[in-house]
Amino acid sequence: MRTFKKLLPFLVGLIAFLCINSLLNFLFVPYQFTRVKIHKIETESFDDLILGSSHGSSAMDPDVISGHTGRSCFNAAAGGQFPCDNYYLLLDAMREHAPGRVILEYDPSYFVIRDGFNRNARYQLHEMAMSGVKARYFLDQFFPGDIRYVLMPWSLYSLEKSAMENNIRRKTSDIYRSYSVEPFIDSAQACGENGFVAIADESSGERSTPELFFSESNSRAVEENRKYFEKILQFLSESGIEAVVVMTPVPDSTRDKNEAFYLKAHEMMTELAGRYGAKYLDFVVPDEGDSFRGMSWDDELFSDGEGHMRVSTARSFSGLLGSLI
Amino acid sequence: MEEILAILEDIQPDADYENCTTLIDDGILSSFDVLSIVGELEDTYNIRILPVEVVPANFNSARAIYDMVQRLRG
Amino acid sequence: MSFTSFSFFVLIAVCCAGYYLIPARHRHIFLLALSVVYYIAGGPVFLLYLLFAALTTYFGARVAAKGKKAAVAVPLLLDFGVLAVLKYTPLAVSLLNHLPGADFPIVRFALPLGISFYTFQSAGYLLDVYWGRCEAELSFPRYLLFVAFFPQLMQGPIGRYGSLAPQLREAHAFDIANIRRGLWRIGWGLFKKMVIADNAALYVNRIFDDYASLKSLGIEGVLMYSVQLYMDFSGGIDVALGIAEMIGIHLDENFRQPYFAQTLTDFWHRWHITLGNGMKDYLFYPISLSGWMSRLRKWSRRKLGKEIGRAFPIGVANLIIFFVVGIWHGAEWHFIVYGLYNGLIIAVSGLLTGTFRRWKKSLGITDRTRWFQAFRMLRTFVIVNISWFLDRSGSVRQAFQMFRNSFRGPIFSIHVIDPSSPSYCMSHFLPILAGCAVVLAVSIMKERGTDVLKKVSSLPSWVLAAALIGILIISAVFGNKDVGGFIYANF
Repeated sequence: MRTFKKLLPFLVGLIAFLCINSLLNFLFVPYQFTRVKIHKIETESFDDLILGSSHGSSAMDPDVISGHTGRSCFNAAAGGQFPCDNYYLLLDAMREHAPGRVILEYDPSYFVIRDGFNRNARYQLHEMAMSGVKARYFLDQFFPGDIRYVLMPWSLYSLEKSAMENNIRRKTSDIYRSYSVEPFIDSAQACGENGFVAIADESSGERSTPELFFSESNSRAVEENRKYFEKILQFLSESGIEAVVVMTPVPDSTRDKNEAFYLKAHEMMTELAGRYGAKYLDFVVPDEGDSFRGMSWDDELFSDGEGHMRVSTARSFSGLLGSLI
Repeated sequence: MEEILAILEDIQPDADYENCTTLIDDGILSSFDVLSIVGELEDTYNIRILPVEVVPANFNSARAIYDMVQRLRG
Repeated sequence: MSFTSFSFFVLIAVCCAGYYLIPARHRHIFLLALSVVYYIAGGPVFLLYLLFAALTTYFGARVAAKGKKAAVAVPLLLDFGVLAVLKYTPLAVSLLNHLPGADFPIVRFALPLGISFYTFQSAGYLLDVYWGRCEAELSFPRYLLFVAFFPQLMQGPIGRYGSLAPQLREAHAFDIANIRRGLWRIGWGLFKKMVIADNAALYVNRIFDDYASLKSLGIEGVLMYSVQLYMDFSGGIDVALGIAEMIGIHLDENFRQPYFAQTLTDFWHRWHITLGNGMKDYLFYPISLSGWMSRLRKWSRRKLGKEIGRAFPIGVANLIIFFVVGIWHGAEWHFIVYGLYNGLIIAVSGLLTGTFRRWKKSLGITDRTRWFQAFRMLRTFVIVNISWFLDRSGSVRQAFQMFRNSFRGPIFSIHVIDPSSPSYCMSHFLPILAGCAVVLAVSIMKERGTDVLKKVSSLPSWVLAAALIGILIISAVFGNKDVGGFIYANF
């Protein structure tokens, strides 16, 4: 008892810290589209579930795909989502409703990097409902992470007064409680209820194309990302769920500049998808006999050099994809 | 003892060898100095000083050095 | 498991709570289990290397206690052999490849965590037993804990068996004063690392990686590196000491305001103290006092006169030691040159001690003259910073080029790094500056005999708790967590 009394100031300090920290999280972590997506996949069921990165979220319009397949479809891909994040997102979705099929968008440029402070992943963890999946996600991806990343995600966002006021307004309104997409629609892009991010045809980002390569220095990142991609495929195959892996097109200039990289990425995924009986559609390095072989992807079809599609490109691409699967 | 004081004065003159008992602890003698002293002692008295003898207790004062030398000369 | 990771904080909490809840006779097993968990988190296979070093020195010491030389030689050869193969193969192969016709592939091994530290520490124990400085440990688990004690496993301080093992054995009763001192020390270390070192690292990495285009920034780069290295290393040591402190164990201090050193020798008595002391006791003295050194001394006295002749063999021993210190830092030429640079300066100043003394006398200067002390401090800081070029650069050539370029072009042009973004300076430069000012003030007081850190830890507990919360929040706001770039997977 006396020991406890002596420690009391530190225990109170710990509780005070946790309170202050929660307040800071409330004030500075903004409302994000990911909240809507997670709510959707936790509460609704879909025939086709799209997982992947920002390439997937801006290239695949579920409504267009549904029009071709006649199946319900939701796009749960998002920027900053690495294979490990997609893996736990899938497990989270599976808790309530198993999708009939999973469309896995594969962006190899994610494979060569790891993000120490991944805001999106941290937000995704926060938004997931309490469950064993959430606990596993935490232990696997966050427990070994930096204390500021794990405990104080507010520090990763803008700490300006205007941002704070904006956050308070939104998070106390009905918009937040009803998972509205309204705040995510502006002249540059529009996020839809179906998870699709429509990038306006007029919008234009960084044009210079990135230089991509597999090397000794990023081999550990590749290993790590590959491992989780494989886990997804393995899990789907064991659960008897059909899997389609899709590498979305990139601008021709980007492809030409990084030919060796995309070839290697193609080889890697052909092997991996083949092992788990998944269909693999590679729009950057098409296989012999693919109907879309020889199509050209002009730089103007994309909003930037990395390969985020403009909305009209995305709609026609989604049509093409819908007819293929 | 006189001889030892002369050796010490020669190697590091800025110390009060008559009274100081913290030559090593207070960093008055550096390891360079200590080894110079050891070398002089070995050559002067024809003794061998092994690494185990090179501890602060044996070098903290002129007296301690003197005692060590006496011991080693047998 | 990094010191700033969430899991490490959990480990500290478990260690602290568990230690006082578990009966005294099982505590060493508990600490050992935590150390193993900590080690396994960095790579399970590596545990085998650690066990190997522990087993060889454990059995070696049992036999060496009876005065058998081979029982010392064999484990040392085995352990340093493993270290050499893992660490120095690439260097050896690249040397071999200079031979005509040789073209061997360069193999790089993954290095077990802290291998240099635990190899050194266990070798020190073996020698201590052999030289009769301490008794051989009979219980292997207890010995293993000495080798693997997790707070110091990664980067020291390098512990001596004589002072650490009894503390690990002793049962420490709960004392709130230890908890307070420990927590505060951890907080202080984290502040140095997260707020100062990590921000400085941004500049250092940028300037050293891109030295060919950022030519005029050599001085800024190396000053930032001297900040980064000290804050990072000593901050990590603070954390290690703080954890041990919480369970009543006092590890050896590893730093004593090193940048206030008067001479380079003095610097090495203040910087990475446990390595310096180890090198001195296990290598420098044995080499300097060996038979062939005394023969060299007799020869040099005959040839070079009394004064220089006396210092000459010690200078040679110094060069050997600093060659080892250099190669201990890493198996690359720039580290070796770094070591030799230090050894050479110390050796030459040793040879010239008498000359300098006569100069000072004729000029009426003593070591207590204030301006002369300031001059010596500055001079030593410059000498040390020149060595940091060699330490941080990727190659000797880079170090020389950067050093040369430092004197061309404008001085203090750090804004050149990213002129487009003033926030870069505001959000990273100011925390470094402010943090350094705090550390400098604390260091000056310490040098003058006032231990501010100790005083803070005796403030009321709730003040201390508030200060720790402050540190956590400050490190979150001002620490470097630059999300803009991805961390390329070199961790």
